[in-house]
Amino acid sequence: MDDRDRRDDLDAWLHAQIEPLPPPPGTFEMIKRRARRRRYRQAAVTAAAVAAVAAAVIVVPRLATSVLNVNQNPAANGAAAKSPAPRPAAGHGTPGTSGSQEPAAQSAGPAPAAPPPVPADFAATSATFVGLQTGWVIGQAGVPGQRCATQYCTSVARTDNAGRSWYGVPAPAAGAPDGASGVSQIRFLNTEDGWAFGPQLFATHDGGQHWTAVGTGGQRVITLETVGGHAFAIFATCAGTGPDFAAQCSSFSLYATPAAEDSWAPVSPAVTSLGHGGQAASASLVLTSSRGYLLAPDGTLYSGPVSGTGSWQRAASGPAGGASCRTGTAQPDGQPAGAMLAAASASSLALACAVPAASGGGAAVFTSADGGATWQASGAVAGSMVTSVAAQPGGEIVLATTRGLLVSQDSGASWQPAPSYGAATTAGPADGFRFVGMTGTRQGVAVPENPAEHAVWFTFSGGQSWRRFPIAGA
Amino acid sequence: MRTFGTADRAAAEELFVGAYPRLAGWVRRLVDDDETAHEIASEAFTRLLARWAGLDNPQSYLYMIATNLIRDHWRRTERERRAIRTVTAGTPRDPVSHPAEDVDVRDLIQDLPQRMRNAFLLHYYAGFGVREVAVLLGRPEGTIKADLFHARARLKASLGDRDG
Repeated sequence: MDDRDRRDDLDAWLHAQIEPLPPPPGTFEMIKRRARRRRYRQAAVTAAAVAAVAAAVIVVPRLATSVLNVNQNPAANGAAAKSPAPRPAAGHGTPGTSGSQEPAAQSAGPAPAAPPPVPADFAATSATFVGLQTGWVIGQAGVPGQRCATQYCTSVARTDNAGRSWYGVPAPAAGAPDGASGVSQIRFLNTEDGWAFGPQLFATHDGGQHWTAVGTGGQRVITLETVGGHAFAIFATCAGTGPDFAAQCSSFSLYATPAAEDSWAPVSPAVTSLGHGGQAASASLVLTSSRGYLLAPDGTLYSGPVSGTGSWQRAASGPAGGASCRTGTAQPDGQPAGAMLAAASASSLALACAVPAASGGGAAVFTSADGGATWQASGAVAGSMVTSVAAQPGGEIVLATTRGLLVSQDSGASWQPAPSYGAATTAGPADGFRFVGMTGTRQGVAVPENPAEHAVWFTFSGGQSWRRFPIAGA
Repeated sequence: MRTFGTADRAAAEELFVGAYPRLAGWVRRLVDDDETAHEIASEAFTRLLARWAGLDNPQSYLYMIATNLIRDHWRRTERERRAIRTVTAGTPRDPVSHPAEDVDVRDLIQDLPQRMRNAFLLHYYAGFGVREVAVLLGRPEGTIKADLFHARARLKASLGDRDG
């Protein structure tokens, strides 16, 4: 065979179609058994390594600290004395092959024997809970290049006892919001699947041990919620710079993905490329166990199933809350400043529509008992700027405002300030709150407007009283 | 240890059903027989499932494992061939009937720089399009095209050199 023949033969062979080779019967079961045994072996080996490292740390703690500072994300900075081994930064690179039969996995071993502490000066910007006990906060800690292990100071902390104590977990490799980059918000669906967003999108499927960047085609993720087996998010085309990642947004689309995957796709044509005549605006998303609601920039409310199948449609012909209620510009966390939506159930909604400062400020509160088809003006709060709203079955509504938390027990007809902020002080944070959400029928969490409070607030009394919980270890 | 939950099992089975025949078929093109192809494909899936947590692209991981297992298989068989050649020194070399079965070609592919080898195997051997390879390897399409071009050029030049 001469050179030309061999090269032609090679070309032909390279371009030939692959003939599939089906697996023999029982192959998958065999693979599962083998994989299970291998996982057990890996766990046993890593557990032994943890014990060995922990013992070594007692003798040479400084050495262990430097190892972790080089490799660990900020959230676990300072965790060296209790952490078994450096973990890879999430979301970068692909498995390698050189010199190793098995690629360098993007997975680390089991969780460390003792949790890493919360990094110093943790300033939370967002909180999320799954159930009553377990939740996460995301924010910034330390100063880039000085007290952070990497160029990013984004950190994540977790609690497993309803905020009484926190510990550090790895964070996405991204900074604070800066135009189209960075993250500031966090949501978890369960103890495994979670997302960090605003404006970039990161996902974890191992409880936050590893984060992976998710492509959004240049769009910014301004809000994200989870329910059932899915995550839903509003992707937007925005031009905001610096920390105002959700400013100057002109096109909004609802995307969703099965929770265990990162396969985001538009939900429905009706909730794709929503805008308000080219004006900069914002949008809001609320999910219940069976239905979701999207408040569009022009005030139109859309709803649809959260099962991942079925289309979303207009919930009513007119704008929710009347002609004067619009989402307006976005707050720093991406939520609308003009209209804030909450759901107490699949059909019971609450809407706080901002009143212009020239008219006294505050907000008018509307409620709907039929999934947004019709709205009733329920009441109003004056003076303070409303930043977030939460609703509970039975008519309880909680407003987060720049002056504190307001509670209504009668579907918004009357309002009272949350009467207590804890034993140490009767006053809440000076700048009020940026977010409030209920994590159970009696339990809820509120994030202060000023992250330098280094704390979040909890209620265990249905919003009647709130207590400050520092984001710190036990 | 992270538990391998119901959702993980369903996702893994879905990947197995969709990817195994193609993976095994790809391996068969690079090894000598169906049995070895099944061994390698099964081992790749076993390692994938054992490391399932935290993988952002299981299919990429799967093919990388398989690529390394194939390389190891080539090394083993080459050692065997060398041993046989030592014993049977002086006998004529077997005629080459197919590039895939030619140890020289395998050596040449193995000698390619890693970034070229991975792109080459995934595109020409596994049948992925350039765009898919770019996603799998996390590199720009243009870079993948350049790697494929240079890999082909090296391979053809080397084939000419060896036979010349």
